[in-house]
Amino acid sequence: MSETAAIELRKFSKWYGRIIAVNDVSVGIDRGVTGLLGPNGAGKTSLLRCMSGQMRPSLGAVRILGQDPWRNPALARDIGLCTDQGWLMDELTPAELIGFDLRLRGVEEGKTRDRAIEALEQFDLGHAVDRRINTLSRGTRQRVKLAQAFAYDPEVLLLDEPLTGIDPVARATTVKRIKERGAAGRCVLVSSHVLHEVESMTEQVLLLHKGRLVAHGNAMEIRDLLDQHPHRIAVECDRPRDLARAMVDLPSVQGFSFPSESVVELHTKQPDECYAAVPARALEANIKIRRLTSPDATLEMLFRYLVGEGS
Amino acid sequence: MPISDRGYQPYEGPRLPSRRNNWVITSLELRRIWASLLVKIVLIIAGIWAILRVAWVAGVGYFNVTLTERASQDAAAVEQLRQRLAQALSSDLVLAGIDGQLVFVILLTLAWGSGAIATDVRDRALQFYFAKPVTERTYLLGKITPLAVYCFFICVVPGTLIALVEGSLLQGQGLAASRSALVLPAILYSLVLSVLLSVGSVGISSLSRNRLLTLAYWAGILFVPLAVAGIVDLATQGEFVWLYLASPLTMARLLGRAIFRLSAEGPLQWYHSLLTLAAVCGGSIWLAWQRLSKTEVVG
Amino acid sequence: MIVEVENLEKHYGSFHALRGVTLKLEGGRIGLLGPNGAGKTTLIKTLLGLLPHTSGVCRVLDTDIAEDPLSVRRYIGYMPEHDAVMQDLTALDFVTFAAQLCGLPAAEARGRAHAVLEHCGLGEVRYRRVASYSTGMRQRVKLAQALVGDPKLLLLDEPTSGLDPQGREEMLSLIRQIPERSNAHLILSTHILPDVERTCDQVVVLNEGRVLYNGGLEALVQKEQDCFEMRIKGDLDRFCKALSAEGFTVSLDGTKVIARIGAGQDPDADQQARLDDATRSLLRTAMKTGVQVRHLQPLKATLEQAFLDTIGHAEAS
Repeated sequence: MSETAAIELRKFSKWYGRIIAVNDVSVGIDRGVTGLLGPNGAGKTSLLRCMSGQMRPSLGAVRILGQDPWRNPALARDIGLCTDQGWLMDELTPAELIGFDLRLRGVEEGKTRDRAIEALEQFDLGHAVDRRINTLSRGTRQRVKLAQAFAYDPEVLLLDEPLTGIDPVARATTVKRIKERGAAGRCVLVSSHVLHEVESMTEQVLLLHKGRLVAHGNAMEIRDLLDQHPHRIAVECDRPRDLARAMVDLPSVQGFSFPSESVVELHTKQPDECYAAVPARALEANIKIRRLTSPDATLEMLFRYLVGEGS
Repeated sequence: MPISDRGYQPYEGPRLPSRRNNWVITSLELRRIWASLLVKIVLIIAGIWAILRVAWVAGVGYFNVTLTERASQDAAAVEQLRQRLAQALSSDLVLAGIDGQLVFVILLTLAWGSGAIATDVRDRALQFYFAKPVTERTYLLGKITPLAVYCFFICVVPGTLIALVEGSLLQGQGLAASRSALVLPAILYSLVLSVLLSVGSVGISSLSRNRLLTLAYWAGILFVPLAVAGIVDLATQGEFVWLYLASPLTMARLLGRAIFRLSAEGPLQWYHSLLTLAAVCGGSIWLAWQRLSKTEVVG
Repeated sequence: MIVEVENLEKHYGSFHALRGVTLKLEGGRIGLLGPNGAGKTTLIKTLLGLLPHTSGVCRVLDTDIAEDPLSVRRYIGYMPEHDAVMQDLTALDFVTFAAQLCGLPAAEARGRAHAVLEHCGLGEVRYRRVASYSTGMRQRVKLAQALVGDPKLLLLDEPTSGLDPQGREEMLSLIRQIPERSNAHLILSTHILPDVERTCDQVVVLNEGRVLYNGGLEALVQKEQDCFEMRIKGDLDRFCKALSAEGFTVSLDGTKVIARIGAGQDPDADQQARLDDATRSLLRTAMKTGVQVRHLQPLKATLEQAFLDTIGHAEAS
């Protein structure tokens, strides 16, 4: 794989008049699926718009596949976009719309319809191929938008809230398609608020807050590095207090709590040591572990820690 | 309890019947209409104009009364002055007083009425209304009534004031009673105008979510037939006036003349006007009803 | 009985939106699920008395909807999916208005509006016009107008749409509190299944106008037996190979390891003892291969899977 990241931001800043939307972000996004997270107003939409070439940065640079996306038709071909902006041409049928889009990207006239139908079928939209978009339901329209973004199979896919309005049945297929693209070496950037959906797609995240970059990388690694917030390791076993006794001499353990009869929660700032020690000590003391979880390990908790108390 | 419970509590107080919702919606709309800057401006100018008009009538009347009182020698001169006085304070003036406010009523319906339901459609507030104990009827009445009330006041105040001024000035002339009695036609005519224009504009406002469009529709209904009929009238030099049947404003004024027992000019009679007015009112209510019944409240 | 529906049919010409829907809901916190076009929207409209049904009986809060659709709406709070607020009003005026429409006298309406807005987390902003509000604030206003009439039945349509994760948290905890603090019942219609998992204890699944499931959430989500899910930090391949060697059937879901107890284990032993043996074995293997166990528990079935299974079974038959 190439050395340069698929999407690169170098000291990227964007403001509107006096209001700053994104402030000095420098990051490289590799191929595969990455989740773009952040509260409302964090700057995600501005970021996506500049990446797709719709706007220019106020300061700094955006590079997609090494090139500047602004006024760059050749590059625009390789960028697929799915946003929540309204429909411009909803009297067309999905096949026509996607066909038109493919033509703009340089696909031969004769092949556009076939490719369009193929893309639609990937999203289970075979039945809606020749029906006008304004007769379709919201969820179906959303999938048409996705099919349009995916049809050309561009190198870079920018998806803004791709799963809105999509019912759980179609969601599974959609997530699958997104993961497939990522696995196939495309760079897929998914911006979403629904964190468990992002979790099902990827572990790579990019977190923005108030226009600044807060964290970037593997969610679990980020969690490990967050040492202001002690890790909580919840162990459900038959003798929780005995386990506590067995672990108490470990310097990495900061504290215990007992949320219920059968659970002991360890607090630690050195998760590596603690996680390694728990099974060892438990097996030594013949304590039967039924469950070992970390309530912190979800993207939701990560988000809360990084964003809830300011950056 | 030392620490009081500040969370969500159920409501245990009285509940009033749903009939009251007519009044609830009306009172909110009354406030919303007044809150609009455009409306305030129109109302203030209408008020000033009304005051000026009444003052003018009072002034002219008083002048003529003084003249009449001063002339006591020559019976013919007195008779002449009396006739001049009666002419100066004729029932035409009351009608003219109300007609003079017509422009403000039209402005009011354009500023608010033609956007009333359109704004709710744009804000998707209909979902909110119809998920509560509100019927289409309650809603429509609640939108029309406040506007009609404002329009009525704009018209009726100068109308009745002029009638009363005339009546009091003509005290000694044996015409007081007939002039004071003009208060009744003034009220009736104001009612006709306010109901017609508020029902019409609010009904039309349900046709689209775009306020400018509904404004255009309403302005079109008011002025286009009037303009066309006027052109034809001029072109045929007064021969063909039947196109005026399509103009609600003309028909309303025709009815007004009849209410004031003034003779109609030309072949159009007051009963012709009833058709147009019924069509405008009935038609716009029907349109609004259709639109409201089809509203997608959910999803 | 808050909702009693029997053989409800709704036809739009030849299209049958609801086919013989029979539901008896005693109350509680109910999630209403179904794919697009399943009839959820039609059902909600019928419950609100907005849509005359073709045939069947529909009783909401012990009132026949066909006879008297209007009075029931005083006691139903509906939180629409899309914006439904008049932009030129302040939140306070709007919620007071909503209270009055539900029958509260003017002064009580204002007082209750203040209380409900406070509960929904709208402080000083309530005196500003709604036109200036953010998405999160608008959702709160919508919830407030649904709550202000002290409804017995709260119908929520995608309450967390457009909210960022923090907003979602807050909205869900607000919603959860309502049945706890008043006698209100909840029907939550949404596509976001984790919301339902967090707030509801019963579920109704609709598909193609029919009820596929009506019952407890727990009962729908079956737990897999003899199966564990793990997340580790370390050499994944080595660990999986070692597990297979121990007799487990191993599969991967992303980076999650799914380990099923192999047939070789003693079938006669007590269930708990079997599971304990299995976990001991898993942990020992982890230690041997030098990986950290970050997450280990019996495989947790999700509502999503149960939902897809339910729909799938229905389509197969």
